[in-house]
Amino acid sequence: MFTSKKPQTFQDMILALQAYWAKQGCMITQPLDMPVGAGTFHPSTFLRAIGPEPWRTAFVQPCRRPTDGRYGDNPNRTQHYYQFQVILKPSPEDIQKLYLNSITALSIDPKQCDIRFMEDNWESPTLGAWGLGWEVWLDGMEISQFTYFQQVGGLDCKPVTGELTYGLERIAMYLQNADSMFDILWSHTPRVTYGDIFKQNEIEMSAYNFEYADVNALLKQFDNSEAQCKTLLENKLPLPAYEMILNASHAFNLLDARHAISATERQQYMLRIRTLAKAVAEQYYASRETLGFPLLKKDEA
Amino acid sequence: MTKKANLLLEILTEELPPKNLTRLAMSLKESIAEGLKTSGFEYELDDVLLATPRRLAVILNNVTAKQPDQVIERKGPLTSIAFFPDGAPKPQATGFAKSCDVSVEQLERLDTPKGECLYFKKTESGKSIFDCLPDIVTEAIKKLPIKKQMRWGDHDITFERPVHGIMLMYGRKIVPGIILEKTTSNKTQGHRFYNLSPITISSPKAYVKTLKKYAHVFVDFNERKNIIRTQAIHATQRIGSPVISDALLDEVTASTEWPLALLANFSNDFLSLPKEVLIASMEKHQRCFPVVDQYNQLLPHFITTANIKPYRTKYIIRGNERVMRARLSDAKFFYETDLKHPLNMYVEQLGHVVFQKQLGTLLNKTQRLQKLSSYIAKQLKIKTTDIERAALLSKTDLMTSMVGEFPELQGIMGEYYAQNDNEPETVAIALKEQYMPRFSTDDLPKTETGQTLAIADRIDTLVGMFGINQIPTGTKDPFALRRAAFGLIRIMIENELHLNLNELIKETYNIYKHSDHPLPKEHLGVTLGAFILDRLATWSQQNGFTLDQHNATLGGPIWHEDLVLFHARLKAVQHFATLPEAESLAAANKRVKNILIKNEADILKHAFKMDLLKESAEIQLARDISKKIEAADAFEKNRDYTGLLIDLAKLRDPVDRFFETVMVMDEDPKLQQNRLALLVKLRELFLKVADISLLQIGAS
Repeated sequence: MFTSKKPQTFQDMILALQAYWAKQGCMITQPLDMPVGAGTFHPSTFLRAIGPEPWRTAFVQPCRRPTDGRYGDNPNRTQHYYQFQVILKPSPEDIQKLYLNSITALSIDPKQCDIRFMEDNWESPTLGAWGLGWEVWLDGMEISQFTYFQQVGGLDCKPVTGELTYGLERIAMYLQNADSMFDILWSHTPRVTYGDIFKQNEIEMSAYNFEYADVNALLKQFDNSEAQCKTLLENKLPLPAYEMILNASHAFNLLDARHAISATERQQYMLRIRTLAKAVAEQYYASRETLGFPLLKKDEA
Repeated sequence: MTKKANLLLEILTEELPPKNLTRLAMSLKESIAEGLKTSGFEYELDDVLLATPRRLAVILNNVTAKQPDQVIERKGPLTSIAFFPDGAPKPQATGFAKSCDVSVEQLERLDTPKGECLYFKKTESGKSIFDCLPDIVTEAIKKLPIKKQMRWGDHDITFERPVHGIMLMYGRKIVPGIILEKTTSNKTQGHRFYNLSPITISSPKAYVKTLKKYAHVFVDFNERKNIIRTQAIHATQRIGSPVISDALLDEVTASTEWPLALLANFSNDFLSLPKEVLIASMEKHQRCFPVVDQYNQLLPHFITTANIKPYRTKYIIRGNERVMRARLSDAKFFYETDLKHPLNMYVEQLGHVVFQKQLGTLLNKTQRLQKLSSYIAKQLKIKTTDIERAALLSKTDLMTSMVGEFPELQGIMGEYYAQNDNEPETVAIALKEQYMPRFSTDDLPKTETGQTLAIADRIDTLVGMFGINQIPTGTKDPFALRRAAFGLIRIMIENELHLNLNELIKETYNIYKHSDHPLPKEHLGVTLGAFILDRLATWSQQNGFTLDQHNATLGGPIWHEDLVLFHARLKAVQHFATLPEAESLAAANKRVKNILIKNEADILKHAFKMDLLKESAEIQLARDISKKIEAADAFEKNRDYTGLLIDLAKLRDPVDRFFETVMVMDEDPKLQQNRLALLVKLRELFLKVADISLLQIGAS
């Protein structure tokens, strides 16, 4: 039943996933051009999960988690990495099968390795979002997160969005039998490794995140983004208002890496982002409603 | 003979949360049995548990095919008034016939003492199992203890995870119906990766066997559990044995359908880590079983359980080893980083971590614990130097990387790090023991310092949370206050620590009062007291005492002045209840109590006077009581409550004779008052230990 050719490189793996999901009726879209901590922050996930309109897409999203930086010393942990994100709304009946077929499309044989759905319920306090699902294990290694969104921005998801998030580096390490993500082969010709591309970036960005990021400027950035988000909401512009949340959120993550926020304040900052996220979610819903939920009609036609 | 057959239900789902699986399966079986019973069906119940990650199943044997028939009888009007003389029916007759849904001719006649009347009788045959079962199943599903209901797709229904099929059979037949939006069938799915087409089940009897033989699924939970245990033991037999905690084995069983336990290795280098860290990495992060040698020392091996049997196991083993290596490397990095910083360095940082918004930071808590534990030490007459040091460091390990990664290692890491810092051994041990008992049957702190800190930690949390009105309700107990109170009781009673709980609560309240976080609530002593008392009732019952023995003991001296003495009196009451005199004396105490309740006001002040005693029985009782009062002092001083009650048991005969021959409520008020005063003394004697009137002896 599995005949796929094993992707030899990181780029082949991405191409294989894109080809597979395109065949399943997903638009292949592109990453968001702003720093985010996870594919969930892409408007194509967060905003499209809101309201009744259907949505099927797949895209690679670079993610930044400043606190995970290890100056390039840790073979499994970096402050910048890639997720492959698949959004299926409404979540189809055979979503697990679709996911598993994508794994076999990478030439992983589920009869020769141990693929497991291990309970993992996801919650993002800053996005006012939560869902139920699993981490997917491959021989004991978490390679994906699989979530049925229940609430986003404090709004009940109806229909429910299914979110599949692949940890691309982990799968590549498995496929290439690599012990360090820096050893992953990115492409054959030219022969370039993940480390060739990102090692220097990890070292420099870790230094920035932990040592040089300007705390006062970031605190201001957080306040400014929050203020502007509110102004934009007053002017019924939920999409730019959402970008301000992403700005604030990234500033917060950097402040966290600089240990500039105490545990008490942490809660307060998260609550401020959450309040904005809920307001944006509600306004986005209202704006789509005003437009008559255009994608819904298209679907019927 | 009614027809009987076996019943099968299977709910096919996506992977269910393993920790709730057995509970769901048991509840489903019980609720269906209950539903059948309520509807009048008979069945046989066994304790087989059918549950895998992807299915909850129930088999009930010899279920009757239909409800018992019901005979419906109705009496109508007397025939003498129901018909015209010509025999034509009057409206009374037609009305009755109509209400029975038959014609007048179809009605029977019945002789009654009042005369012959119209009579209707019919046998309504019971409904068939086929008609009733879908509703019974639907109701049972509604009652499932699902932790978080989820929705999926565009459906309106909810379940623990998405549902893919409902198999419902009675004997060899499908029971038609629609449950959770699925049409019932006799088909299911086998193992996710082995069996891609549906499996047809011929009958409930064939279910378990068919899945095992053709579908790569061991559906019987306990069979699968035993397979894993046996495989794990087998895989390690040459080198040692697996450490199998039942909770983890249940979890692994609940996440596999076709298990295969495999032996894997990690590098010897990691054995330098504290064993708790290794175990936590293996058990909690990777759901693997550790392996030990014959001396119970950890070996550099672990057991991982796959849900598949591949041609070659080495790839799965290698993959798991790689993940374990990464996990243990992380843990080693944390441990080595932590060892570089002494614990006392973290004290200041505790000021940045909130314990509870209204109760301040962990530093605030630390400062309270210092005061509180020295107060407790003084009450227990223990030296306070090490205790203050232990209290100061008590929460510092929460700031270390290792505890950040493994919160359940709090205290345990504290002990390792304190040893590394050359803190006194008592301090190091106390850091670990402050969290004991961690669960209701866990070991207790053994050292005085550990016990003191453990009490201080719990009472600070309890008083603080009650003081800001964070009181547990129903199943909601986010700060685990019930466990804290239960632990407190166990530490005090089972370690025989004589502490006045009421004073301890007051002292804690005062410490809060003079801190930056005074408590707003004034009367917390009452609610907290009642809360702890509830847990004490649980403790008594878990330790083999009956509720009436517990209540009787509560009726004696105030329980919260000293829980150790409460326990001593409880044991005395338990022993007393076994004596032949107990029943009669319990009854007598009840009688005295009732008499005294009605007459209380006047008599309590008076002692009885010997010269006012007339009857021989009352003179004898008075003499005996006087002797017992003298003897009671010595028993009380030695806290020999059992001895005291055994001694008081000797009063049975004089008491019985008193009630048989003496009229308490004599016409002469002087005699009456004197007799009541005598009974007051009698009752006071027993109340030194307990309110014996509350004992229920021979009643059950």
